[in-house]
Amino acid sequence: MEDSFDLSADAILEDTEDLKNASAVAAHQQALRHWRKRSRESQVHRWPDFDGSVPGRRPKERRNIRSGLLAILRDFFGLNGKSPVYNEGDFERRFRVPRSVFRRIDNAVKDRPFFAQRINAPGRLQAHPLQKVVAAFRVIAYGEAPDRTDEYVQLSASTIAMSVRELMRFIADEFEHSYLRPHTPEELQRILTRNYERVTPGCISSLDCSHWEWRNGPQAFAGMYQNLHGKRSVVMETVRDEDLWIWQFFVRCPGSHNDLNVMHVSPLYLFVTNG
Amino acid sequence: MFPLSIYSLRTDNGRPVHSSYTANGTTHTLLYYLVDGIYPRFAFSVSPFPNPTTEVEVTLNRLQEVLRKDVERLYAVFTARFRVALHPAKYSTVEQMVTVTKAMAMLHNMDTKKRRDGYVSRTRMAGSGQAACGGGRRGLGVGTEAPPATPAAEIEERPPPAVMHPPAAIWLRVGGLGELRR
Repeated sequence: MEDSFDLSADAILEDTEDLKNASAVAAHQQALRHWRKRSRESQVHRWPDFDGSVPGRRPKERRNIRSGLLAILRDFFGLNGKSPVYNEGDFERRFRVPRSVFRRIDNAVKDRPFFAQRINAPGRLQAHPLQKVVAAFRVIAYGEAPDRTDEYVQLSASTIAMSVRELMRFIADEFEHSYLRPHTPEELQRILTRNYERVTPGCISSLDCSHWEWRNGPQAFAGMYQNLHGKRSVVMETVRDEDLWIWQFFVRCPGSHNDLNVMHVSPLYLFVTNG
Repeated sequence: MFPLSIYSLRTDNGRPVHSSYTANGTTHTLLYYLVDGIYPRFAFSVSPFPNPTTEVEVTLNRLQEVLRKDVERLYAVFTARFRVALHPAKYSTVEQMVTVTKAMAMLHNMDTKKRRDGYVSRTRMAGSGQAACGGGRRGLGVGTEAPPATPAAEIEERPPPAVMHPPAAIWLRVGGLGELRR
């Protein structure tokens, strides 16, 4: 499998341990000390000394963020020259995408503002981008709650929920041109050739709708989004070919719509009627 | 609408002309989608006959359902692959649901691209490319030879081409690429 992004675990670890980061941490801590000292000198009233959380509030969990990164590296990338615990098949089963796709997304996302590794106020290194991406993939792939993933990647539930949101938004923005777009003439010709071989000449692909139940929707929308089973839902309309490649995708309609109403408001209808 | 004489394709120097086909003596140029019974009989869709009585109708219904079954699998594959889509969504806005679903669809397409031409298991895929192509063809496949080696992998990576298929251009103008979002 060709894979230009596949770095070794050692390279990933070096990212966090190299001189640049260490000096950044040192500089940050020095600046903190400096500012603290200055503010103390300038103020008549001396603020009580405390580091970390405010006294009286719930303390921060004592999780070792770095151990989450090490666990991920050990399991899927191999640590200290050892081979990873899980093989390629397991990798694809865990993350639902092949390693090359995973690395590609990880590589694209790792310098984005939310995902880039940061230094917090006390001067400690925060989560590695890999941890956030792995957490988001686990939540999507297994449908599990963020605090369940917390145990593996050692990040707080709110961070994981945020990283799911950010990653999904990133993918939806970044890959739409490549992976969710209308067919080009060559692709259409290929589909038609294929369908000609399957005795349906002139058939582009198939069209169907499905409902995704919506639990946390606002109560004001309850009637509008109520589907025939009495549950709130949102309809997805898809057009896809024999390979299950999704050509057109339209999600937005309330569950009270049936397939026909959905088609009347979908871009597909304009696509066909104007054409 | 359904091509009754499905083998009577107009040919051009022995090669089929895919953009038009002949059924019942008429040549059609409009391409169509396969849909299920709820849709009315639009010119661009083919739905099964509601109450099939004759042998022709029954056969065509059977054929239509067999071909459409392939794509009925999508939601099963989709929810099995991304288990969030199986459970009720826990998002507070429709926008979030749209973003998440679209992102999952794109991830699904990335996966599909990896195992194009056959949708066979990993082990069979690893065996040999040719065998995988042959093994993946099933059902009513008429052609016995392996499908032509299309450069599918290259096509997907390209940016949208300058000259597009006219309906595709309309699709873009209508907002297929993000006008509808947000």
